[in-house]
Amino acid sequence: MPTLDAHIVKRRRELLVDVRLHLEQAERLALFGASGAGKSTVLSCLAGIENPDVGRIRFGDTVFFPPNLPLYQRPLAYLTQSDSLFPHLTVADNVCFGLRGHENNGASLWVEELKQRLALGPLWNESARRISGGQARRVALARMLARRPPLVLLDEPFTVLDRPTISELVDAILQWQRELGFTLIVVDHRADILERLCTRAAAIEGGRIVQEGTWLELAAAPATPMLARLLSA
Amino acid sequence: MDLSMKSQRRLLLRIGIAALAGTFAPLIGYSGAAGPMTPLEVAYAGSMGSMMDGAVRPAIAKALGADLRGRASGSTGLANLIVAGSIRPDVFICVTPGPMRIVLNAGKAANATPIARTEMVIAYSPKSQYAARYYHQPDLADRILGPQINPQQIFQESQVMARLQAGQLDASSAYKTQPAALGLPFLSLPPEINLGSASMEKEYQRASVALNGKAHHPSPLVFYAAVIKDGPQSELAARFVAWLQGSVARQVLSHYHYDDPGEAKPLLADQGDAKPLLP
Amino acid sequence: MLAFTLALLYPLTGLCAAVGHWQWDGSIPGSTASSVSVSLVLTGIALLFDVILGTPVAWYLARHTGRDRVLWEAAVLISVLMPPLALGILLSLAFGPTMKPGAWLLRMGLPTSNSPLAFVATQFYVSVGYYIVAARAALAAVPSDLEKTAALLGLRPSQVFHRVTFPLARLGFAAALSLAWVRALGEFGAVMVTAYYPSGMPVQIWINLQDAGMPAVMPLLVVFLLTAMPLPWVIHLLAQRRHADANA
Repeated sequence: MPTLDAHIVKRRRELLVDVRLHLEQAERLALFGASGAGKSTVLSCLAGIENPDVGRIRFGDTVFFPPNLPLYQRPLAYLTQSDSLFPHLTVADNVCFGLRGHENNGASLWVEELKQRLALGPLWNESARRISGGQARRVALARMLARRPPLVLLDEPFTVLDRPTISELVDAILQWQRELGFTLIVVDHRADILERLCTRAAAIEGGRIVQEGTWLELAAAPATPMLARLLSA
Repeated sequence: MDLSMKSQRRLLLRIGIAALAGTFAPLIGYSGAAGPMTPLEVAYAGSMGSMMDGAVRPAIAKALGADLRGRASGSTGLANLIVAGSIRPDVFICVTPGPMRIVLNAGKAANATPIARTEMVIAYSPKSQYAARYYHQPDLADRILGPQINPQQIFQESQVMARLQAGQLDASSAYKTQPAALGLPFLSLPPEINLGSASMEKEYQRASVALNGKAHHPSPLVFYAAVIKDGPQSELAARFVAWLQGSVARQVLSHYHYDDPGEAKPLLADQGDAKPLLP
Repeated sequence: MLAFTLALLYPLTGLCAAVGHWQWDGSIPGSTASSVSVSLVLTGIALLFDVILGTPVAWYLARHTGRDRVLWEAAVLISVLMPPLALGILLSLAFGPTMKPGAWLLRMGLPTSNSPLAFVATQFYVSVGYYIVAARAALAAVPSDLEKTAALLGLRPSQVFHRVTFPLARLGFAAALSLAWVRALGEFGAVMVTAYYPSGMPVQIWINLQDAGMPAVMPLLVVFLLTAMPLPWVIHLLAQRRHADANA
């Protein structure tokens, strides 16, 4: 039963981020707050892109920090606003990038499922340089999930997409989360998307969690005026 | 990747490394393995190249079983490199006593033996328009060579003969050996000025050329050979220098238009006033 | 474009100059062949060392963001900024018998002057700086978040280099390799001092010039051009082609 236990302290220019997180397995948590509140810092520290100044991060039996665990040993997937597709590879090679040999261990079935659900069929053998922004986002999503990671981190994943596409993807993610049972943390400043994806929310302001609970609890009694404004938007 | 592929790749890697090491080892010149002939490194004045590579090398291979490895360059430059320890030849052969004294005074050699002699001549291009006429005038040098530093007339030494061959130069001052080796015609100069007589050293010293504020006096064009101390082949080097004074060497030298050293005397350390460039 | 290219190619017309009948007899073919093989083989070995030792350094300079990076860059550039003859003289002294490393090598039976070892070492020193500068630029052009993404997908650092960094930096590496190759192959000033023997092509040209004059130099110039030119061009073509394939 891997649980995520994290205490992250990091100074970002004038902002001191000090956040504690505890998630049970298969929990879906939203990190919600205005831009610059420090949400992305939390995710990038969990992913290992940055290192906390102080703190500890543990996921199940694996300790991410301290000492700093190398990126390739962290059992997670991390998607940011930039797709970071490998431009010299096809869509197919991008999606299967983290998979070791596509033998009959169920991976190819899962890849098929991703390919169908995210409508990647027509693009499958295209060079990653040639596809549009929306298509690239779906490829990036497929790539991150192809390995069936136990922890999924999404940082404002839907910014360039239109509403119908967002809706589709949210449905897909929810379905897969039920099937695979991964722990999910999503960062965004738009409450409507987060409300669908996540059951619980942690509101971050000035680098700290100012309120935590279900969406109903937050909406009923927002802890700060800024939070109230964000929730009503 | 399954195991058999992995172990195959490992085997290939091992074979590759062994092959590389096998070709590499002799290449790095490991002197533990004895080659067919002992190498003898000789540094000599640039103009001696054709004789050294052409005739002396095969002769030495036969007579001494040595593989002559020559390095040709300007005598003074070579002397300075030897004194600094940048190059470490077994034998040093230079022209005029000056460079040799640099080496002797730095303690890099005990003595130097004169082995040949040449003289200054005026070499001219057979294609030159003046070739048909015969020069016989005392102010010859001035008329041909112009002022002391005449940029129009300064050519890199190695190019001079080439330009004469091609007809780009009408004439040039030269050591007799240079045009003779290439079959170019030349005019002899009187012994008072041709720097070819060792006994006339004092007369030659009376002439001087001022360059960069320093007075340079010409020296007789005698070739000296010296065994460099602490070389890896000192015994072989001494035999080579002895060979250079023998009859076979005399034949080779005269074939290449080098003259007998005549009355030139060996040079010893602590003679003369040439100072090495290092303290 | 045409005018500039013609101006660049003009020196080749020197081959047509009237220097007399070209000489290709006696010892010249043999010494030409041996100087070609010395140059190609030993420069090839030096280039191998350039790649093996220089690539990690280039990677470090491209990725490291600390303030001490400027110092490391300056240190690497010293060999590039030095005139080759100066480098050769310093090498001959530094690895000579008066300094400890040179004395140790000589005791081991490895000659540090006028030997293949000296030749390769000199070639390495004159070319590795150029390789590192060009390879660093090639690597810096690959965004580091692609490398991080690959790592997060489970790839070890060597695998990331192999599957992401290198394919994207391939053209730049080809240029770096070509640059180091022509630099080392044409090296004369330093090699004249440290490794006159075995004679590579540039030293052989010098020898021929002194021994027999221009007629003996011309054929070697042609050989030199023919052997030096193809490799960088071939490397470039290969890198280009795979690049085009990836885009197709």
